[in-house]
Amino acid sequence: MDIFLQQLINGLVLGSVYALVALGYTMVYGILGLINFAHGEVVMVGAMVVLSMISLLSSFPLPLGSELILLISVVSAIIVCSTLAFFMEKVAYRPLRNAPRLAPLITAIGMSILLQNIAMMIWGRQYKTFPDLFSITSYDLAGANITNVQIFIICLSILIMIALLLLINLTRIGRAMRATAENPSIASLMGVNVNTIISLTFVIGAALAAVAGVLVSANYSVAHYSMGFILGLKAFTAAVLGGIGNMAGAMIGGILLGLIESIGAGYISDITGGFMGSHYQDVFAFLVLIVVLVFRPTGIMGERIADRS
Amino acid sequence: MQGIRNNLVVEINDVSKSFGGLVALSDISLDIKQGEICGLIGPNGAGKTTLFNILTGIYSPDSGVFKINGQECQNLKPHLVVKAGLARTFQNIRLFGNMTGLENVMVGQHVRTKVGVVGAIFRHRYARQEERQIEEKSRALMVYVGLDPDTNQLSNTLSYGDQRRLEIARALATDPVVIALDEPAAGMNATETGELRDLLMRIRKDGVTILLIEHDVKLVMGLCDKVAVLDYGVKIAEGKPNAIKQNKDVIRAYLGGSLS
Repeated sequence: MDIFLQQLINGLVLGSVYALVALGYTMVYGILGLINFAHGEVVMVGAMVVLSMISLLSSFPLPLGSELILLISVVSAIIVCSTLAFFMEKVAYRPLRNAPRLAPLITAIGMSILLQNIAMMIWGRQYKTFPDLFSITSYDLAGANITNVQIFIICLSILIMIALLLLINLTRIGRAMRATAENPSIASLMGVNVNTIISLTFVIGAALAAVAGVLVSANYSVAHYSMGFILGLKAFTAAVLGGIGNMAGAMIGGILLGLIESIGAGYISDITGGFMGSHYQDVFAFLVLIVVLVFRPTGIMGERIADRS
Repeated sequence: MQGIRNNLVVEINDVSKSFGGLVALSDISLDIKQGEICGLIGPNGAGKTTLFNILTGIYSPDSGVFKINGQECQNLKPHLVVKAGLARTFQNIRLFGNMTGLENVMVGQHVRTKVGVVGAIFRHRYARQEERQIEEKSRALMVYVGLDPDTNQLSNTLSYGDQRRLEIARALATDPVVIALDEPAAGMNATETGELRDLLMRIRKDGVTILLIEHDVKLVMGLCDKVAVLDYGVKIAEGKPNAIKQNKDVIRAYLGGSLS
């Protein structure tokens, strides 16, 4: 029971990060039909910027509290990532808006490799450790451990997702985004500036990715220039699991994938009699991807068959 | 509203468009006065919808200029044409099917409102107020065209006639000076056509100019102040409905050359 509860908590933490990243994939897919494979790298850049900002701000002899340092760092990561995504869309995807689908997919992969290498040049090849801004305290929850960082991750992710749902469903910007997702040319004929909405989608997705980057590096206490790749693939899996293009689906898919992975990792050793250890946890994510693609390609929430005329 | 001559809200001058070797429109000129209902008729393939697509910014013309509400629009993107004051409906209904009727109309007001992401997230007073105004106005517009604003139905589940009306409401939500309707009576029965006719009269009375593509000759002749006739991309006649009915070129275009 302890292991189960513990893995449940870990899965929830992991899952909320996946959900935040998956939202970025799903929003862009919903509007452009493009899988932005460079999205994982945006997460990595977010983590790297936060690390750099924290060590920069801590090195100044300024009377800044740790909360303030963290806040400034996160805000700068959001700004950097949003700007990055804005220009990424403009340079790499917009010129190919009307090209066959394979072309932007390939630029996305190219963008991903490019960003990884730029990050390697800026931040180096070694693992960077997340500075100890806050002392980590552990709480006991019915025999399982939960840290203050984990509680923070879960709460912040939930808050952000609620805010996003409100934005999409109840505001004029959200309506314009949904209208554009349904049919860009008609949205344009009804007075919506489609290019602005597309840029905005990238910017919002990148802001979520930046936050996810901070959370994931705070949780594991490390960041690395290639961390975005696997994370991105898993978040993409989460988006597919939930039904790509569907925002609620991305949230559910993210949490679910986190749970599957973490509970799977907790029990794989028992099941295989010690033959496979918990480091096989990545297997579960991609197993899920394959199973979903074979048996329910539209995902959990996806009913709509893409119809673009 | 500066730049409008003689109350002309639509001024089309020598607009031409070819697709490869096919001349879809050649040197079309047409002026529409404020408050008029102008019919645009012609056999299938005459270029009516192409003209609509040019006016709304989907295509840009090969040559020629046109002004909406005094503003030159031939090189503008569709959303800016809407801003200039021209909104349209579609021959084959193009609603946002996964949104409710009310939301569809609310999208129409996007161009006249301005709260951005930051405002929308933090919901300061102005943002809330604007959102409330958008909803009130959209509800009023739905009632205006004869729809129930409280149905939470997705628009693709509405009946055909209601979908057509919803398209008109959505177009009106952009606060247009001119509204361009592409075959609004297509597929309607006599009662529905009658209701549509009343609606169009009301829209005109409320000061919105109407440009109407329609195959229902009775509707066009009964409703329009003036009618322009296209055939093979050329404007062959323009005038009052009665004069058009007797125009020899028009009769020939519709019935073939054998009549003369």
